[in-house]
Amino acid sequence: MGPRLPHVVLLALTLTPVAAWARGPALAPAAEARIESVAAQVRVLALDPAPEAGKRLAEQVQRGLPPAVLAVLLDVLGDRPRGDLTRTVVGLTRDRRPEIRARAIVAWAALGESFAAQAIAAAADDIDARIRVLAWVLARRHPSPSSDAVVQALAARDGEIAARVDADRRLASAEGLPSGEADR
Amino acid sequence: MIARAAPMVLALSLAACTTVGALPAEASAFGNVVLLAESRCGPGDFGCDRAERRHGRRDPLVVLVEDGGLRAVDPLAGEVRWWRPLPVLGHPVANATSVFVPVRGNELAAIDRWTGELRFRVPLPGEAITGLTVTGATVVATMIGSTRGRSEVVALSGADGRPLWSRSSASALGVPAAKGKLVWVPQGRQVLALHRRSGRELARVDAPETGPDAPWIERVDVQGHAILAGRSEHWFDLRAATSGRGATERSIEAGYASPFPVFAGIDPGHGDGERTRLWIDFPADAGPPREAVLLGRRAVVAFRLAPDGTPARARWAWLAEDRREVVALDVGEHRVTLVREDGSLVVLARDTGEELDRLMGGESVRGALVLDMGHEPVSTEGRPRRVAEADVRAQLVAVLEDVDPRLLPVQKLSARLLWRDEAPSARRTIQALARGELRSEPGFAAEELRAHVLDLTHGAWGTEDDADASLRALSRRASFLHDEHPIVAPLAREVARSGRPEVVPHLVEHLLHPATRDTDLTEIARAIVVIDHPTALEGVATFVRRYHADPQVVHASRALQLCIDFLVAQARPRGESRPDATLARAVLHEVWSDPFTDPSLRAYIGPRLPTGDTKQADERLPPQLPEVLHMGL
Repeated sequence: MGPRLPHVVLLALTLTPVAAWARGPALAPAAEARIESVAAQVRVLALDPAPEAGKRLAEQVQRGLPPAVLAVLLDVLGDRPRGDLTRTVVGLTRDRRPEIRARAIVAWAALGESFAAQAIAAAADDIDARIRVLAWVLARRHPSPSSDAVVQALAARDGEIAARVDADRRLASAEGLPSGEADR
Repeated sequence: MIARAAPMVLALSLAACTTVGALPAEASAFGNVVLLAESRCGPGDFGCDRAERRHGRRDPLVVLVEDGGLRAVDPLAGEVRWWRPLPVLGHPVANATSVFVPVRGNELAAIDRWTGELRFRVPLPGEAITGLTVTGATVVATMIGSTRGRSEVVALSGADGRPLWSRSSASALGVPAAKGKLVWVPQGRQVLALHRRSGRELARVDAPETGPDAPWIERVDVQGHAILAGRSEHWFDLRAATSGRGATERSIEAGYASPFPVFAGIDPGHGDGERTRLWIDFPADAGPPREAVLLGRRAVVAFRLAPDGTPARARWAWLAEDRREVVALDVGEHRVTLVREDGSLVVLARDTGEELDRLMGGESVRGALVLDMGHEPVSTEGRPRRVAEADVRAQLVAVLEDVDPRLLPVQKLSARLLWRDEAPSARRTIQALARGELRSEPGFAAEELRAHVLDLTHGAWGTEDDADASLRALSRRASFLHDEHPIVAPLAREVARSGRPEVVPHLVEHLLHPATRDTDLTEIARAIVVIDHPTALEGVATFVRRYHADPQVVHASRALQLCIDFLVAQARPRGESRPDATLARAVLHEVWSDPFTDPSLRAYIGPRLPTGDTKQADERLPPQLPEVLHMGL
């Protein structure tokens, strides 16, 4: 993560405390502890570079995990991307929960520049406004002609993005930098 | 009981009658009878005037064609009115006073309709009779001519049989019909309109399809207000053709029976083929027909037709309780009369198929001419106006389950109607038939029926109305950049009715699409359950696995419960072992035993687990936390 990244956007979406949204309304303390336990195991597996660990994680995600556990996994993968879980990550970008989709898009973009372009395009087309903001954030983090084009197309339809792009442009103009460079 | 003529029908029939003494009664051959008016005219009373006819009455009669002659039965009194020994060869016709019948020796006999006395028996010109019709006091016959390659149309007086006029033709002639002052005679790909009294040609109508490969017109039929020229399953309305509106050829789906049977030039008399026949209610506006009745040996099915001529919906079905066949079917305005091969009569209500009356028979009959039956309204007191859909389905299933191979045509129709029925139970019956779980006995008929049903199950299920438009709309996905925000619930309901398997991938994509609304999700899952097609299995399994541990999704809609229902249905044993069933069972068990599964969802799955898994599940209740094993650590 670059030093000038607007963390506030990502934080709003991807770093919401797990306990606040991911567990559902009525988990008993035992169940909560159960989730914490499994989340800890998932974190260990996600940090384990062995292919076997990746395979087990992929299988487990396919069988289904509580959203809180998925959030932990995706947070790890956002910081420590691993190519053997690309399919798993891309699959989670279609989760019904925007919080999971946002994390999955960040983890997808973290896999490399070509993946970032796809992740930005997916985020820009999302019906959730917060995830479309994420497209703008990631485009600034992973600049490319294709991501610029996506953001321009997005700005033409989304007033909030248009305002952000405009603010970028004005800031860059004031600092004498190309648009999008001022915040990096 | 004496039935009275409906005023409108009477007026029309009188308008069609142009001469004093010319009775407006018409009766076509083959049991489909429209005897529009009748009279106090008694035996030999050919001079009945119009005023008397205007106050006339109907006189129902069933003329049974037996091996040795004709037997007339009064269906209201339940008595034999007369018996006339005659060597009958062709199909009889009748007007208000007489029954005319071709007899051996190429002769025409006229019998008094009330007494059965022989009025005359005269020779016909030519070699053999093609068809016979009567209008008023004129009998018209088409003949294979004595000169090679020529045909003749001859008119005789209905009073004494003397020849009135004749015409010769180099083309083969079909079965004629007459109405009012006109006689319609098929000639190749044209229909001639001849004046009844003189034989003068008044008009010549081309068939809509006039190319060299166009079929010849086989017959003209007068049915109600319609005058139809047709062959097999195709026909056009002659009134439309002569009114300047142009003739539109119409047709019905082939394969069950033909409304315009083909005789190849000679009237063979009542034969085996007539025991499977299709009656169509041709509308007065020359538009597409909307109602039909199929007789299939021992069964009768009444059904609605779609505008394209395909069977759309069953109205009722009747199945004989014994092996005796029906040899004649007459559909009146309110009643359907069946004549069975033992001479017994069964009268059904046309709207419900309810059996209203039954007369015992005795002698073996080849066919029958039913006159003036079914025009009297059936009392609605104490009886439903329509049959419950579930009862109609049960009647159709009873027809399908009968192992009598003679029922094959009517069974094919029944299968088609059940496949178009929107009730899942109807579709399951057809699928069971396709899999051989029903009618598994050996034999051509069972195999043929199964092949027919397999064809059906490869196509769309349901009515297909607007299904294409719904399918196109369903192929749209939510997209912010493309400004697509489809509301899927109504589409899902629509395609569920169509039942087309090609909608399943779209439904699954919407099920798994993150932008699908919770309300839409329920309807999508419901449609998947209704269509019950195995191609949805993988997507449904993904959905259940992905969200079974997410209380927010579990409680936001009924989608997960419905998906469980779908998996349970797929897991059900259906004969041979199937990978689909194995996968469905595995997912159910896996989700049920996952400690992270939402408790309400687990409670829903528990009682629905396949039998083999239930015991295993019970032994493991309540699920313990197997995180370490679960994670493979």
